[in-house]
Amino acid sequence: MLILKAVSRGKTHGYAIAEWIHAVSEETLQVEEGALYPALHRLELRGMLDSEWSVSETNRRVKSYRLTKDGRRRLAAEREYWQQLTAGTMRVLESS
Amino acid sequence: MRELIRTFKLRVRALIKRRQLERDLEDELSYHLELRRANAPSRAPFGNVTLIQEACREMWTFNRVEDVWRDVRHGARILWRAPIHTLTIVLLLAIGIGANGAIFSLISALFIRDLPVDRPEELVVISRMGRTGTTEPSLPANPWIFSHPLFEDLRKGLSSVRGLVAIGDLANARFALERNEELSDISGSIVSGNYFELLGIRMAIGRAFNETDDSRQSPNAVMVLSNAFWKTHLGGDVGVIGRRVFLSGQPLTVIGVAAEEHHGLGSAGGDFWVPLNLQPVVRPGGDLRSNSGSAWLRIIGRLKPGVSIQQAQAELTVLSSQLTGESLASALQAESGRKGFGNLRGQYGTSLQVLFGAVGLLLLMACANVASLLLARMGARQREIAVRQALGCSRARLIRRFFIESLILAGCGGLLGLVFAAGARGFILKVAPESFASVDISLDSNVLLFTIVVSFVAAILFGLAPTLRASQIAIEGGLKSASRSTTGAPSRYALNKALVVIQVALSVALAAGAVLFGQSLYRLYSIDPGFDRRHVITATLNTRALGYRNDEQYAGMAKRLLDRVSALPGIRSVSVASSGFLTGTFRTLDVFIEGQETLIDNLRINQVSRDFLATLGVRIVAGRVFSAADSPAAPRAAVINEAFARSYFAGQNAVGKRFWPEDERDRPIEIIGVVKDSKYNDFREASLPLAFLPLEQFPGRFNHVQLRVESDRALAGVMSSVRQTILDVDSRLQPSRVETLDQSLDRIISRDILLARISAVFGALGILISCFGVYGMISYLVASRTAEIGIRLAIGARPGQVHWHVIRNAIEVVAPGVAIGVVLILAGERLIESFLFEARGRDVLTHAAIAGGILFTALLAAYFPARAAARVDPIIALRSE
Repeated sequence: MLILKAVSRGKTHGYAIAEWIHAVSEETLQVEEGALYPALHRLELRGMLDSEWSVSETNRRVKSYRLTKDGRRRLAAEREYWQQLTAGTMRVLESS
Repeated sequence: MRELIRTFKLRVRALIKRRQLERDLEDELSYHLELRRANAPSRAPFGNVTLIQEACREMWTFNRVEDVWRDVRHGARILWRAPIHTLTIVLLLAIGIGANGAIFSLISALFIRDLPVDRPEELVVISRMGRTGTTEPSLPANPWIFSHPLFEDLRKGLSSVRGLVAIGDLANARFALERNEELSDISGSIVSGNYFELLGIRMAIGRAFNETDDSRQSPNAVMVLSNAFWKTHLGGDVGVIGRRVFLSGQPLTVIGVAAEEHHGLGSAGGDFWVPLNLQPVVRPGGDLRSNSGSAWLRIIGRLKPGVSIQQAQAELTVLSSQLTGESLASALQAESGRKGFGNLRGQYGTSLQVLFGAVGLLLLMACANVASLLLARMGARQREIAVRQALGCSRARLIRRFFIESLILAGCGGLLGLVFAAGARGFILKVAPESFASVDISLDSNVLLFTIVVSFVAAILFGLAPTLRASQIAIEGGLKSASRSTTGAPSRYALNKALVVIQVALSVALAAGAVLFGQSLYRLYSIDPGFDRRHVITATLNTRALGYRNDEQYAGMAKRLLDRVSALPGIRSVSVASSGFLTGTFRTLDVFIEGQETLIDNLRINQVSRDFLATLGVRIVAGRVFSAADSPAAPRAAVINEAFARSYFAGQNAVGKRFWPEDERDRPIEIIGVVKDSKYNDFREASLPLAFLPLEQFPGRFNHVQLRVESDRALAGVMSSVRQTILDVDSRLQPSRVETLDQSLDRIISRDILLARISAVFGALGILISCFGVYGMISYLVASRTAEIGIRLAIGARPGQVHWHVIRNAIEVVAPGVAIGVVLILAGERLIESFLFEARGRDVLTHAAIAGGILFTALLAAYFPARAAARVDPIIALRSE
């Protein structure tokens, strides 16, 4: 979900995703690279992400990802589910 | 679903462009690393790059497939390491699968394949309804053939078909490019002009004939050759188009060669085609086109688009009740014609089923044998299995591995089997009757598919036992016992023994089949046909071509012919007759018998020259045979057969009795002798009343000439010269089917010969396989019990005892096998009884002989390993532990 959210901002590459999540979560969340890339590839396979190759300023091949329609739908669903879950959890924790 | 497709695409890409994907992955990760190093060098390390790559890669690969592929390679390596073992198995399987493929190729040709014509599903064959094996002589026994006038009526009357094609056989024809170089005994068809167009048969070269060529008044003298005939006999010479050739002496022009796939419609005669209206010229028997009494045409039609067979049938039923031209004893019916005419199908269909059953048994035996071979090897591989398991190989994986090995074996066996099946084609053509020559029994896709399926089924069958054993070992945890070579529980051998029992039982059944068919054939050969067929040559003559107007001319020709032929060296006697033995056609006469009121219609007669009965060695029962006294001027005489005497003069002396043809009361025929019944065509048929009439008193056309020669040596000499001699007398006679009566007999009982020969091969293979099985089992037994035997010998067992001990093991397996086999015979006998000539029910002696024979052979197979066991040196045996 986090990855989908990160990608939803527009075309990004793997490093940027990790950095963005790291930065936005104010360094509380760190995405392991070991999990990031397999996850990206899996999402691509499931049709949540699109990818394309380009060349960076340093003249290296860069693979960047973009959210597909399916991915967007999935993100919305995930978010809703997550909100319900956290809301529920909070209610339990805050009950007396 | 979409994900699946995408995954699949990726994996396929990974298979093809692996390098590209690898580079992509590496680039992606290294870019990440680079940025990382540049921006935040202090943070936690990246982690294991290889591990990440591995995780990503997993998504691309057909894991399963690659695993399986690894198993396949591993299996192949293991099999390769034991080449003899593997080769034996592959060979066994190839024999089993090959035999199945060979028989199946016949079945495919006769039963499965559609005719290679346009839209075969639209074709309908017309036949008489529900008539098989009728005894009514006025109608042909063959329900598919009709007269020409009936064909015309149907052609005019039937509106549900686009057209009807008539096909007549033209057998025993002769083909010549020049008058003097002839090919004899070729057979083609006389077909109506729309044959090629309606069926959609293409030409390889030249053109087909059409309705215009086949005009009733002036048909063009043209012919179309079959591709096979053109290639074999004319060397595929394109120049043959437009060439004048001679068909049985008649000049015709070749206008086309049919495309390769067309072999005719499954009736005999696929060498050539000539237009229907040439019939009076090329086929003897007068002009049959207006003769409604002579049925000789098969009819096949093509339905109009959208018309069903049922509709055609309905129309046909109405139509056949209106037709008056021909006495229709039964209604006509329309059947699907997509597979062509079924004459071979009807004639050999059931025989093929029997053979198919036999090859099935053979394959089953081969599988049982292979299974026991694999089991034997399992013992040696126990340790491997245990190690594998200890290293974490799951049971499912283990079973898969063994099954894959089985599949490899079956695959190789199947491939080699196909080669065998292709080779068996020549053998089949050799042992099969002539009529199979027109059947295309090449290995088609049906056969290929069948072989694949059979191989797969075989793999499951023979792979089951070792696979089960493997998992069993896995459960037991083989490591602890694997290092010891003493025998474990007796159950370890139970499976092995069961397999050998199966083999022995099946081999008894196969051998019994072979023996029964062989016996039946022997009985056919040794049956008393009522004549002596040794040293007799017959030839069929085309006397119709002489075109004589009166019967006396034939008498003169007969005399000239007899004089010339009897001058050949080594000839004992010569005769001519209107019906020869083993040729099967008769003239008939309606007669009255003196003192009896009723008319005997269709009494079979045979007009023969004076020496006919002597030439054929027909035995006299009473009275005398023809002599010089029976001249044209003398009172008319006849010799009758016993069936005649039995039917009409039961209990009386037939000699001296008289009968006369209808309307000839004033010229009675006196019976001067009675001879033994003789078999004419089918050796199974009962003899019908028959009268021999002297040709001198009853002149007429004769069709056959018979020669009795002195000895076998003379036979060979005369065979080669008799044809020329006849041609010298008159070249129009064109003798065909010059053969000995032995050869004629072989032709008539060809089905029995086919069954006997092929089942003999199967029987022999079966016994071989079962002996091999017994031998293998006992060898294995001995090998794995060397230590035990060593101990026995060391503590004082005599070699003889050990020997007996091992043999007893063999008996324990073979005896129940034979017993089960005998039960199988008794059950199966009913099935094949109808194929046997004079099967005498339960032939206990034969069964006992077969059982005893197999028991003996199997024990012989066990004898050698048993002897080896008795010779075990106890010291060596114990030391090998």
